[in-house]
Amino acid sequence: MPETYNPQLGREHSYPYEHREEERDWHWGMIININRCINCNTCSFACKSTWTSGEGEEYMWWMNVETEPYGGYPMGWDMRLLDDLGKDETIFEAAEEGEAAKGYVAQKEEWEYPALGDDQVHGEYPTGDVVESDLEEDEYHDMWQFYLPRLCNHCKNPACLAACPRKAIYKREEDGIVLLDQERCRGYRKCVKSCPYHKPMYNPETGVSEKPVGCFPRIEEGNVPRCVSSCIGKTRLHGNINRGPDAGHPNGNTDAAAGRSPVNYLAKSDEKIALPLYPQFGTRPQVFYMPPYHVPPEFLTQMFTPNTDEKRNDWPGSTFEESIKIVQDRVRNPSHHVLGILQLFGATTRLIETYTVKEHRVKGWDRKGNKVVDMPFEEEMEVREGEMWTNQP
Amino acid sequence: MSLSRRDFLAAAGTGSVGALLGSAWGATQSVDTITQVDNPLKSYPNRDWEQVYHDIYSYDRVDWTVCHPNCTQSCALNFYMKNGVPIRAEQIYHEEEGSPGPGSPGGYEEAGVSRHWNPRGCMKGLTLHRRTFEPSRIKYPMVRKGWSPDDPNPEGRGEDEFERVSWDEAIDLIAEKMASLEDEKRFHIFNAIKSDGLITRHGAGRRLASIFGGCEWTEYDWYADLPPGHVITTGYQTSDADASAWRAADYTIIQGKNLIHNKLADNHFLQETRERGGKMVGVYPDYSPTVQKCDRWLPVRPGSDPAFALGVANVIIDEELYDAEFMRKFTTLPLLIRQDDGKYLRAHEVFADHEPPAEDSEQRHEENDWGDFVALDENGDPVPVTREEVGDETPTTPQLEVDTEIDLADGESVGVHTDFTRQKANIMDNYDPETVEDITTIPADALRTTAREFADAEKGQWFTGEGINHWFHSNDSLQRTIFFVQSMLGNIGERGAGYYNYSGQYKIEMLDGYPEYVNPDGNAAHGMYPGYAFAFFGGEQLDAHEIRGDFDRELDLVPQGDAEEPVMPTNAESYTMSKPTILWTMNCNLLNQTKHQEHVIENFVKHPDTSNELSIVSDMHMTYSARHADIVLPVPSWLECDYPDITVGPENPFIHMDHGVMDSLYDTKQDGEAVALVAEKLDEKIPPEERNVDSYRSYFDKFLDDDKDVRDYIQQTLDAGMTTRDIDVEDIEDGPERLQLKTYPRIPFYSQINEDRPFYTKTGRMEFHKEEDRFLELGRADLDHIESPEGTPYGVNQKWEDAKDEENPLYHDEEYQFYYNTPHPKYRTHSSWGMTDWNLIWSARDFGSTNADPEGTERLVDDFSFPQGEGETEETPPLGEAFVEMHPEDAANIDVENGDYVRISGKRGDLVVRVMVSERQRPRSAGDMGQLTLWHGWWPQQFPDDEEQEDGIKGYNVTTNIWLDPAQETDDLVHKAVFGDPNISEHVEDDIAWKGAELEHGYEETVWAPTGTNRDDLVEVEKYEEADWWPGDARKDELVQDYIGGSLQGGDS
Repeated sequence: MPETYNPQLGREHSYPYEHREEERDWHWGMIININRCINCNTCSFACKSTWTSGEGEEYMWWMNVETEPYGGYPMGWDMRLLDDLGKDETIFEAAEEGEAAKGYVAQKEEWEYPALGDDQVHGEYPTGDVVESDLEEDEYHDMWQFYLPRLCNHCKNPACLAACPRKAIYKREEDGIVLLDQERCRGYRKCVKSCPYHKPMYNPETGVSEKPVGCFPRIEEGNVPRCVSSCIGKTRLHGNINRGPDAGHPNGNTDAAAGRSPVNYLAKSDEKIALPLYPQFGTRPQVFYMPPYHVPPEFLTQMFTPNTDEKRNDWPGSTFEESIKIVQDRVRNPSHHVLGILQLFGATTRLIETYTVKEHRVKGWDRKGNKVVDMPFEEEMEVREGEMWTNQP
Repeated sequence: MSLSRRDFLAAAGTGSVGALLGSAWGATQSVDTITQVDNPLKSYPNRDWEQVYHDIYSYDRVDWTVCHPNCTQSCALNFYMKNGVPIRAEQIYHEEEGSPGPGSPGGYEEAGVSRHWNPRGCMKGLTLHRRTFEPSRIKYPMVRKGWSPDDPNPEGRGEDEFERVSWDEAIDLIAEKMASLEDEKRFHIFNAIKSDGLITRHGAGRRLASIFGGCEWTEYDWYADLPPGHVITTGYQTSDADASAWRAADYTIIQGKNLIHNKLADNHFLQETRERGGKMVGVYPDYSPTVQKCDRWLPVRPGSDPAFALGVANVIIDEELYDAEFMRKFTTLPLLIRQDDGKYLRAHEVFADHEPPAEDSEQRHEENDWGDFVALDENGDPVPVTREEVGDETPTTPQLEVDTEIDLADGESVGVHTDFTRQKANIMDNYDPETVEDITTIPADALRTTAREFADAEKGQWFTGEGINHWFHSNDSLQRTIFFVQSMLGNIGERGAGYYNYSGQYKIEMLDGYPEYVNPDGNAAHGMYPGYAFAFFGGEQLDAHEIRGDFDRELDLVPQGDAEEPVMPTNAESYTMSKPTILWTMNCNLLNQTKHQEHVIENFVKHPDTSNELSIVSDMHMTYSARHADIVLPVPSWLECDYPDITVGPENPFIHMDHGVMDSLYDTKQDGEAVALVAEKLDEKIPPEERNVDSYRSYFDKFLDDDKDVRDYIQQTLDAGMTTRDIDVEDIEDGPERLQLKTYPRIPFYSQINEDRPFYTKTGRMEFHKEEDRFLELGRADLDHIESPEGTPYGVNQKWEDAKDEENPLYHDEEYQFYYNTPHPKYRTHSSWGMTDWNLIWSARDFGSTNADPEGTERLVDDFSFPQGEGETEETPPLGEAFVEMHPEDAANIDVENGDYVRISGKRGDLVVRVMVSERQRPRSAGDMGQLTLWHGWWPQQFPDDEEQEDGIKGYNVTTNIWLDPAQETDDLVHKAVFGDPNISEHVEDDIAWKGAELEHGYEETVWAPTGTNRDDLVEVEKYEEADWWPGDARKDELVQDYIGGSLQGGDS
């Protein structure tokens, strides 16, 4: 089996297929700022009403938000896999003979309660005390919860793709979206078993499996996915995760800024502020989370880092727990540049390819090089002159 | 309880469901020849199949409308239509090609705001189409079989069957009954929301009540959302800013408000304060979801909130952190108060040549002259201060701290002190942080730190919400104290600073041309106060003293109007007390939301002697209220409306106009049209000489005549308001516009602070000490914490000094040891969306199942006995059921596990409900009293029957109470009317509806009324039955502790 270098882990591991020699110019990617998420599930309803409102899909929530640490759809999905994997062991390395990746098929009743644990909290009631976070003092909430929006990661090492015996799952050349061919699938459910994020789902009415489609009909039109455009918490930004600092002007249009995409800046720059969910599984997921800053870093280290003793990748800090703390601090106290990018979240349905942040103003351009956002960090206050105007009062 | 249903679920729990479902979950298709795929990571040979998803995504056209339930928001949404059916909704973005919505490109951008407001519209808007198609819809007009105009037979309400009638028949029955009334005031229109459905929906009902001479009520007063402390302090209904102003704050204290789940569309503006260096502190009894967004959570004993704010005030005064100049300019704090009678000293009492105000208090109100006031200048000499001399116009630099004798013009002398001296003495004596810790359980050092940080912040804002308004005493004393703190810190009148409440869709004042429509030609409906209807207009009446917390029966109550019982003090003559012979409820699930539900159902709705002979409910759904009506009228959903309507809200600057996107599925009519048809019939039935107006029909002819356009009513309203005078209906057809206000974002009291205009009080200043007799006689003239009349383990209805050493017998002897908390849910707005499948599944959390029978909601509507039903429902689980959250410690104490059933009992009723064990809740061990949380808005059929209770009355409101605060029963208070700003009412043009508006006194609904409060209820809990099914509980998984500790991976466990 070929070996592949996994930059999220900083090491090589096996994966059944050879990668392209060069990265795609354009790859689907997403940033989610957990600190802004309110668990309203507007994203989930937007996704479901667009893609899975048919027969046999009643239980399917391609997009769901679960409350950590007690929520889970399917129930306890990550606990079980974490327990099964060794330290520093990807699902590909842990696979049993004859299988591409280690996994399990969640039973029907495990899918039955999408809101299980919704809004629950962990910790002792602070009788005679308060609950407080202060990053400078290494203080975190000792009673906590946070909301984890979950969706298909359109991984660069997709386990579903690796596991499909029909080779019916593929990664699109032009945008990296991982699709499951509805005509070719025969319902073996190997993808359902292998995806550590449990996003391929089996339709008992049609007898074939389905998986999230990355809203490709919208991406093709230059719009962001439904879960992004519907997010009233402004928690999300979608774009080309592969667009790095050396990339040119979009569509060759020199009026538009060149260089990084905003999502690439947040996930890949030296000011990295967004981390993948369970990178240790080895699938190179392409949804990156700005972690909650009030939550104890031990938990977040397990969830958003390779969680190995030795830190091999290029993330800040000398240990992964330190990486988490540094990123938490960046999220709590964003730089001017990051604050500018945060204004792009939920600003437009158009897919922002490049951007600039200067003097409390942010601009964004789409893939054609058209300017789609140009706004100050703060609106001007307006006061109407004249005696007769009132604010009631 | 249906055992067979649970047996099914027990089977589900053990994994045998696969067998029940047969082979459907297996791979069923045989392998065929396949096209060769080499490396699907790099390329894929045949992608034509992708058209499948293009087809699913495709639509014929896009239309848009506005979602505007009673959530105080209003959000424009695109609906994607296929074959005439909306298949999904999307939020509308500014100026977007990809967002074809209103005025594309345009949308909110045309409203003069930036993309910071993008996107608006939550998951409820996104299931509006599912709600429209959901089986609880009322499909045609119906009349209760047991009802007839002459023999209403109220005992049959809620039990009799309905029969279908034509619209003509229904309208005729209503008009006939109206025409037969001897007193027109007995015709009552009730609706929940005043800033929504204004013209072509329930607003038309209000217009009819006005010209007919009837009464109208709103849920807003009744549901206890009113924040009277705002009116007491500032004379103004509620000070709220546009949400975009929140973001400018450096420090936020948020108290008892789950803002992130109740202001979904605009919540990000608050959260963004933290990205800009702001800090957030939350004060809640439980770990509210909003706590996770706070830097610090101060856990507070329920009902003790005012003491927290008093403690903050104590620290600010003690450490002299206040802004003396602001206090001198904008508050009563430098004004002198007579120590003998508690009245503000008047200038004519001191200066012989100073003109006194009129003797007659009625006349004082008319002349806006309550005398001038007195302060001491730097030299200690008295100076008169008029109502207009505020801000920079404040004469001299008055002393804040005075305690002296002063010579009066009549040769006598009197002891006086300033308001500040008075408040300071009380607060320093009674509310030091250590005492406040005793009252609230908030650690004194944490309170000190918070107070210092808040005082240090450049701009501080403070939020409270409905949860606190629903407490008998918190709803005024907390609010008054927060204003006190904010005025000591100068945190009023600028962006990012203020005190906000946002409780209720009441901001009809934002549409200030509205009187033009609802009060045509000077006709205005009488205001009514719902609590009185339910307490006193039924069979068995409630004890008037008890519901005022007046257990010593010291209040002097006298008959008012046509009520036979003593229900009001003598100085509250402006209250209308009219029995609702006809009650027409629009746009509100009144009986589900009603407090003290058993009393209301038994003694108002179903009692043979009820004053209510005809109950009409207009609704989309067969709600609990509709089920108890005599005539039920079906209305269209927002997607189906024939006529557009407008809406405004308190936290955004927009005026929206909706319109339907599809044909109505059923035989529905909008309220406006139904009302118009009634008006037409009234002209037939009532001879001209007996009519209140020449023709009732003529006020609604635009609904009835083909050559007329109802949008003209909207335009007339817009033309008559300062906020809308330059807006045309055509403009808002293309998308929302921004209201024309003094500032954007709207900042409350901007003109008071920046342009020296008076507040809407007698003094023209924010008033902390109150001199009105009612406050003085109840001992509530100053800022204080008073224990609840029921919800406390200590002495009831007393200040801490007296309360702390006493025991509430209900708690100590009868073991009512839990607070009963009913906060607003996020997947419903009140009870709406309560039966929409996805919303129901998610709102039921652990008990919400996607595997339920898809026919489930259909069935529950038919037999109305959800969840167990009559036989048929035994085979499948419900989509979701109600639950109560209870701390694990307290649950264990009565041997209850997650999913078991308990009976909750209080003085006023009991209910059976499932328990969700929840670490979020406050346990009894945190301070004697535990907290139960049962989210508001469940439908009664989402609760199981109690096999030992025959009455069948169930739901979350059976244990809640009708409390009426006697402090609010006075005509003496001065306030700004809903419509119009008295400060500038002479400057506006003649065609503005409120030209010449003056300060008001007496009752005004949604502003000043004896608001009901209900949070003070104590309950006990006992185990009812063990569940024999429950979903998995991740908290019990053996792995979970390692998972939470971050040590699960790698064999550490």
